[in-house]
Amino acid sequence: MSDDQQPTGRRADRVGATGAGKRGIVQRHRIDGLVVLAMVLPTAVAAALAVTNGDDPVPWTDAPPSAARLTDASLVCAAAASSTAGDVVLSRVPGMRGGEVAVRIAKDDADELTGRDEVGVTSGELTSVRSDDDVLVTGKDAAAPGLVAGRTGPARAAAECRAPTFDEWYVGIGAAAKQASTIELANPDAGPAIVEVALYGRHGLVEEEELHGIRVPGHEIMRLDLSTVTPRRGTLAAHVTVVRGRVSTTVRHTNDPLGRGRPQIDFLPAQAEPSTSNLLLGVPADGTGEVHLFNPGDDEVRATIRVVSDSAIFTPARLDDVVVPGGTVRQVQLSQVLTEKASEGALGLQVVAAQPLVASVRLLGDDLGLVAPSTTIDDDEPVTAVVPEGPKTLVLAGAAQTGVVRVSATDARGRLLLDEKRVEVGAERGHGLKLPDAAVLVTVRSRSTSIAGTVMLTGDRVGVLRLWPAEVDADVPVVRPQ
Amino acid sequence: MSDVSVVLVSHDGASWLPAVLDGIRAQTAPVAGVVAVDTGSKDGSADLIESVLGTDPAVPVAVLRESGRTSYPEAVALATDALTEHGLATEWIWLLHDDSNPAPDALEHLLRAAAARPEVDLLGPKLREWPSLKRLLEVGVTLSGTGRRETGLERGEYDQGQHDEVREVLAVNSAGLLVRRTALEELGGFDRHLPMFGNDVDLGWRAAAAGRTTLVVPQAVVFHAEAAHRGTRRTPLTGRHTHYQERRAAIFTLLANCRGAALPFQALRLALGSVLRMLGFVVVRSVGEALDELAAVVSVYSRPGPLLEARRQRQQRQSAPADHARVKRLLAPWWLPYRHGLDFVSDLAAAATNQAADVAERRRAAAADRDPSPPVARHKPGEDEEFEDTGLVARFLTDPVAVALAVAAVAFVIGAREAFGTVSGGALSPVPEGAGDWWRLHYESWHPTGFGSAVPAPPYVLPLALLASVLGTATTMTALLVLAAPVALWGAWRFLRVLGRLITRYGAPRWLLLWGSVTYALVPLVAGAWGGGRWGVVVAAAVLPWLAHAALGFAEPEAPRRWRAAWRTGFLLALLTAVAPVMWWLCAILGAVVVAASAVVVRGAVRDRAVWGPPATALAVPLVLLAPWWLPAVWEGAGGALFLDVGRWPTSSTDGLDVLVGRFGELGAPWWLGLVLPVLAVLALIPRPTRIGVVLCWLVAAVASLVAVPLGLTTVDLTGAATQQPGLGPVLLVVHGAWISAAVLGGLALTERSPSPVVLPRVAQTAAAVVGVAAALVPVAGLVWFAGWGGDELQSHAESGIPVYMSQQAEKAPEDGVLVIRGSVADGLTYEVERGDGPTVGEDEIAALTDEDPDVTELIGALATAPAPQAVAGLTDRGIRYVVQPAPADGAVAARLDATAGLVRASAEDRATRAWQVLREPEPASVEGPRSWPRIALLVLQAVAIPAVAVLGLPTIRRSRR
Repeated sequence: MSDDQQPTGRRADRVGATGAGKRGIVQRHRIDGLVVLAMVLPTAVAAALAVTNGDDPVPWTDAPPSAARLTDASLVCAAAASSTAGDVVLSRVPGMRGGEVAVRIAKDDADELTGRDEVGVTSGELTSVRSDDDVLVTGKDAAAPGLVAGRTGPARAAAECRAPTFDEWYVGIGAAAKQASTIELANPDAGPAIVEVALYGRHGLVEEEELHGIRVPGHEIMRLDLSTVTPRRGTLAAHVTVVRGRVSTTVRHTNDPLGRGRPQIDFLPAQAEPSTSNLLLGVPADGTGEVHLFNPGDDEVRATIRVVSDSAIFTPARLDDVVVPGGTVRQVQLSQVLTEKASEGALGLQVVAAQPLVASVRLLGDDLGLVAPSTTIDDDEPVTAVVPEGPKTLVLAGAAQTGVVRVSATDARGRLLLDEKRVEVGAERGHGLKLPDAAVLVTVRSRSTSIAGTVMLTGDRVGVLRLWPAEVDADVPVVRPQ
Repeated sequence: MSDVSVVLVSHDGASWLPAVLDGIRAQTAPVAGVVAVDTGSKDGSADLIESVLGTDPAVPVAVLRESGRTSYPEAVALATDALTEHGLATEWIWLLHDDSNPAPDALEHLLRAAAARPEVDLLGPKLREWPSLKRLLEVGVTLSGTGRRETGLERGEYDQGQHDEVREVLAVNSAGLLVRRTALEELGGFDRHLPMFGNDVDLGWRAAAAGRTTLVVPQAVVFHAEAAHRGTRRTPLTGRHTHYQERRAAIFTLLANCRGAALPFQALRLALGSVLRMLGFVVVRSVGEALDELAAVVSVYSRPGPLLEARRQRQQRQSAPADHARVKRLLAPWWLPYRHGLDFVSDLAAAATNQAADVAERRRAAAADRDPSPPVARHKPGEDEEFEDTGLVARFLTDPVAVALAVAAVAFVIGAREAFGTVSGGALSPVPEGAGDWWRLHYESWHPTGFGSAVPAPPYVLPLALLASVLGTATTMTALLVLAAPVALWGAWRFLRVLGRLITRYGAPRWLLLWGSVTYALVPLVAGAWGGGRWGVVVAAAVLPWLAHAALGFAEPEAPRRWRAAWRTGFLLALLTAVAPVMWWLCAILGAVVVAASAVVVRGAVRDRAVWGPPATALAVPLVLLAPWWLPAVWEGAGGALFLDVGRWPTSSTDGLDVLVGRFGELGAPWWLGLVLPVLAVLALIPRPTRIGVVLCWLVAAVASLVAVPLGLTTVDLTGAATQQPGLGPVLLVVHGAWISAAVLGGLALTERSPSPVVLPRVAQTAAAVVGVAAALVPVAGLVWFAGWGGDELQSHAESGIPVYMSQQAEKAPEDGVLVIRGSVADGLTYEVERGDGPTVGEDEIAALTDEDPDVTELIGALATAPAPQAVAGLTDRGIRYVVQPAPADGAVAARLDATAGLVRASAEDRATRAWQVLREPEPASVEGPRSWPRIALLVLQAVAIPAVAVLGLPTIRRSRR
């Protein structure tokens, strides 16, 4: 390579490199070229490497589904907790064509949903189904989109009429004589469904064989009285997973003072998924009871409880964070949160944590009330709810920014009681709007902000009915190879 | 009156005859007469004999003129008959060829030995080469079990009296054979079935079997030109194929003379042995002799008549029981053929590995030839040769370089502990069950991967299949991962050693080679290629220095060596391209730059085909050898594979900074450790004596870096939404390899072996010491890191979520595929199909490069939204037996599938996993696809080309037999 043309031999090598004479001159010329190369080449390498850029491949970007009109909708309304709960009233969100829906009823607390009546349901109108029992409403094709239902009687307990789900969380369940919960699983389809229920207590997961692989035959209702299935004290959390088929879950909770009064019944609303920010709207300023928190994760979580009032959302003075170890349930007395000073104008609570939590409030007093986190309603998405007659207040909070919410209400005969009433909402505060006692159908439409809302029963009643968007469109997933 | 008459057989021997005749006339022992048999000479041999010998009345001469078809046995028989006719019925007959010239005292010595041992019937002289006169050809001869003519002499052995002992042998050459006339007649003369070659051994064998003694008398010397054997004389009997004649004679002799009981065994052994010998000839590129070998066996075996007749004749002549003990004693020992075989293989291996090692020496010799004025270089007795005569262990322990190498090897094995047993993780998928899976993957044109794919199997599948056929699949991958670093070290050592010798004839000191080779072997390990399962890069790192070593052969001064280097380099480049396809592009551009640069430096060199031809050939070889991969990949729309590293994609991207510090993204050893090497390579530019070499190394690094720019900025689309950056692994290897070479050369300049040692000022000495310490820390820290944490990242993959019984069912039948649907309606769904034993090494690339089938996507979209029985039928037709939604499963999709007719819920161990079985069983035909005849043609081409290139790349170790 280097010494091909040079004299061989060690001495000659030295002469070749350093000696004078013609050979040396020739060599110097070559070295000059070499020096240039010796500077150019590393620079070229550095420059090439500097511009070589490698963005990490994005293996997967979430693809939101496209929408198509819903072609199949089911709602299950649990049996009334009292005789005053009234009939099931059906309606639709505004602007839907509507059609005939099929109604099945589990007569006299039977397990089977039988009968198959067809009733027409259209937007802005109310259709009643006379029954105190569990009612299943199924709409196909044009009759499916925007179906809503509820009981309108001035009862103390309000049950949400719900579509089937696959995965739900509850906290504040009881399995003792004093605080007893019954999980009702209604299968709206003809085929069987299988449900798994995982219970968590103060010390973590509660192993209970009977809560695994619960089979719910088609068009039947399975009722699990936890105080019989797995009697135990303390507040529990439940994770209900449908592993096969579809099931609509309702948790009926009984507070039995054991001789010191009549048992009080209310329905514990479900939480779709644990969240880092839980808005528990509809907790009255003078409410007593407990806040229940469940941490479904493995690591300990510190939760901050804040008060949502009509002027601000704040953490009450001297209220410490709640430490919730992984997989366990913790309680906080409401009196610690809603102190005299903090309760002024209070409309609800907000539980904030770094990791997702499940939260609920159990209100005790003259009546039992159970509050679970509200769902966020998107901007310009009309939401319609069927609510009981009697005194009640619409509570709004969780606005992302300043905006306007328009509220309409009609009574049982279809008369318009509120027509697009404007409520200006802002971030970091709550809003209360008293609804007419006769109102049974409330429609809320938010402009330029998302919002969460709840109808809080007032007077001598304690309880909430959350607002959530009815299913109008079916999601068509984006499908691609992995 | 003498008792010896001479029989001289001649055929076109005029060029030797005058000397031979002089030799006969000059004999010190008297000769009774000469009978010459001329077999149709056209050069006047007969007249020559008559005119020369006829002048001496003391020696009567008879010349028999026979046709050219007269064989040697016939000629001798005619001569013996003529002896009686001419009244020359002497006791002894002395046979001579026209190319065998006896020394004056040859006959005298033979007769003296005959007198001393009266029982002897045949005597032979020592044959020496003519015209060299010094080299020994034969001192008696015997036959090995495979029919090889054994002389017991080394090739080209000089006669120094080392074999001068009269002893009994099986046979002696007919040139110079002194035989008792009665014995020759009783033995029936030479066998006419052996017209030219091997008849002497046959005669000796028969004599020994008849209890007669054959002696070799080394004091008697005959010079033999071996004109027929060497092919310098052609007769109608030898034809052009002397090898064929010799082999045929050997086989015939063995079969005609062996014991009857051993005949079937001997026949089988010779047939099998001939096949082996054929392979041996093919390996050394002697196709003609391989064909001769085949023809000889066919010729003997196809016509058993003459053979049986020969055996019958031998039995008839047998008056007493055959003297088997004597024959056995005189035949070659049984193990001799095996030793020859072993010698051949080891010669071949040594030559193959050392082909380029001497390139520096040969260049220097060529330069010296051109300019003979400087004194001949004397090799400095360096430390390479210094060893004291002590025990192996003591020598090992007192040699720090050997100890350091051993420590490095141990650290490599410790670091590679994760690879023992089955291994997968990162870009490395599990290996399939057996080698047959890889063979099938390589040969089938339609793979039942996913919903079926015509994308060809990656090119590395063939070498893996070959290895796995011997080792098994799991051991193959283990061996690759564990041995890659030691092999890379070995290769780097050899390459750097030659590189050092190109700069200075004393070569680089061993400690510098140690530093360079260990640092290089660590490049893929500390880069995280090993831990990240990028096994292609790991194996490429092991092959690259061998390729570089082979490519040094392009600098050979002789053109034939350059061409052989081309085949060798091409073969290695094909292997390298198979595991790291980008390497081909890199070498192509590098080759173009180097050829262009040499065109600038040495004008006119490029016009010489022997200069640019070899590199071009080396680049063309992978195109041919890997044709069944890259051509179908291009026409099946999977051409992106030509630019990607192998393994499971997607892998994290590599940017310029990663290449600079030699790391793959977040993987590997601490990145700052990688800064030392580029700094060293820059510093290596400072010493003047080795600057040319260092600049060349930087040129290689610069070309590789420039290639990295377009590679780094583009992406290749994979199936689904994924993309993959083209493979920068080869770039990283080449750049770091070049830097290490530069650093070694720079370091060489500072040693006393430098072409012109530099005396550093004191400050510079300190700086050099600091740099040296930093440099030494790089391999040490790398070794410690690899041994401690190197395999941590090679973790097994999470479970696929498919129930075990479904996987087992899928393994049994490829048509029982498992459709896996992941994701949710809200975020999008993905699907994949698992068949057989899941995605294994070799299938990942096929699956990732297969274009999405829109019909399938539509089908699965329909299943996930509004499933109909037609959709389920579509699954059956595409070979799907099960549908699985691993946890976390979207209940919305699950509920729809639950409600679909034709699907029934199947059980799963994990309660959160949803699984369904398709009611109707798929047909085996559902996963079959079209056969691609063009690809089959390419496979045939590959099967022919691989051995051809291998043989062309092997060194020449052909040698004549004597």
